[in-house]
Amino acid sequence: MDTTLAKRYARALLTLGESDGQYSKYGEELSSFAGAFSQCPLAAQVLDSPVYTYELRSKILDSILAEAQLSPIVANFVHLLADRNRLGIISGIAESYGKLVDEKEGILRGVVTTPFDELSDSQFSAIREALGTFTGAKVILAYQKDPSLIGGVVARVGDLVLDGSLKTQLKKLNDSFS
Amino acid sequence: MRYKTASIIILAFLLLLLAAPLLATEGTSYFNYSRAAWLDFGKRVMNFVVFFLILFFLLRKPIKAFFKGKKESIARNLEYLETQAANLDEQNQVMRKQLSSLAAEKEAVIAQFEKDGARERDRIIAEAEKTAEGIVLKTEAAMGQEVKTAKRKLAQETGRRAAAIAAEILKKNITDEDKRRAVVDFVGSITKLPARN
Repeated sequence: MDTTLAKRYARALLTLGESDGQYSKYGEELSSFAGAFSQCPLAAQVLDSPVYTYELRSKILDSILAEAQLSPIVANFVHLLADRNRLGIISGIAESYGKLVDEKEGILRGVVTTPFDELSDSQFSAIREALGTFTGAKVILAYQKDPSLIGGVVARVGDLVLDGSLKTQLKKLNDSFS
Repeated sequence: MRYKTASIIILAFLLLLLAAPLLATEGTSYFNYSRAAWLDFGKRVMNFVVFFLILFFLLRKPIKAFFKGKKESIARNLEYLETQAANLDEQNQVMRKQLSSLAAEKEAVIAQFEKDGARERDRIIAEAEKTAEGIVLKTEAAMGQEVKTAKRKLAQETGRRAAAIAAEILKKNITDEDKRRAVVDFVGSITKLPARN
């Protein structure tokens, strides 16, 4: 996937969204449409294929967009992508758009990994707040279980990794013998 | 030379005279021979003398020349052989001298060989000692390296086993309280970090 190109389209849509203040809504619509589009490879194949006439493809896309009930800006954006045969990178555009929105709103997304079955809400909140204080950003965390960690917590936020797992500590112990 | 020729002629004549008594002794007395017999004898003698003289004058020079040539040839051969003998004698002397000098040279060569051999032997021994010393040093270094490697491997293995045992113990003995404390400690460690911005 051409991430540079996807980022360029995403930035264009974000500019439009920023101008009317609805960039969050556009992001959600684009993300849901890209998800549906990626789950229906036949539609992608037809809409991107030059075998079918432009009119036919345009009609099919119109019917899909009407069904999806997208904002006019997002619908036009998808039309533009179809006209330029760029529907194949719509998932990348949605991803880039999400990152740009997160960047604009000061959001950092991350994953908390522990060997436990779950974390209590209070524990989860405590970790999120600590990470928010440390990074100075609004942190959105997902949870992941990894029994190989044995104990402790590992948090990955953006390019930051905070590793407090027993697995890593035991590895350090092992390395100290070398 | 003339005496020689005359003595030959006289000797031949005497031989003829001796033939008469021998002929006369054949059964009859010397005085009983007839005049015809004496005449025949005289003719024979004359015949012989003439024949002898003819042969003498015809063959004298060739025979003389032959024997003279033979004599000169023998003299030349003798002279040549004497020269050869002298040369050979000289060569013999030279060879004897060379032999004596070769013997001395042989002694010198043997002495040089012995000297070179002793020097080469010393060199080989010195080189072997140096090589042996190098081998000992290399072996010691290799042994030292092996010991270091073994120590490092042992330490690694000890660490690996210690970590594995610790992991097993922790897995078996970890409690809910430990889990809670792990999260609290993690949060505490984050709060102790200086803010990124």
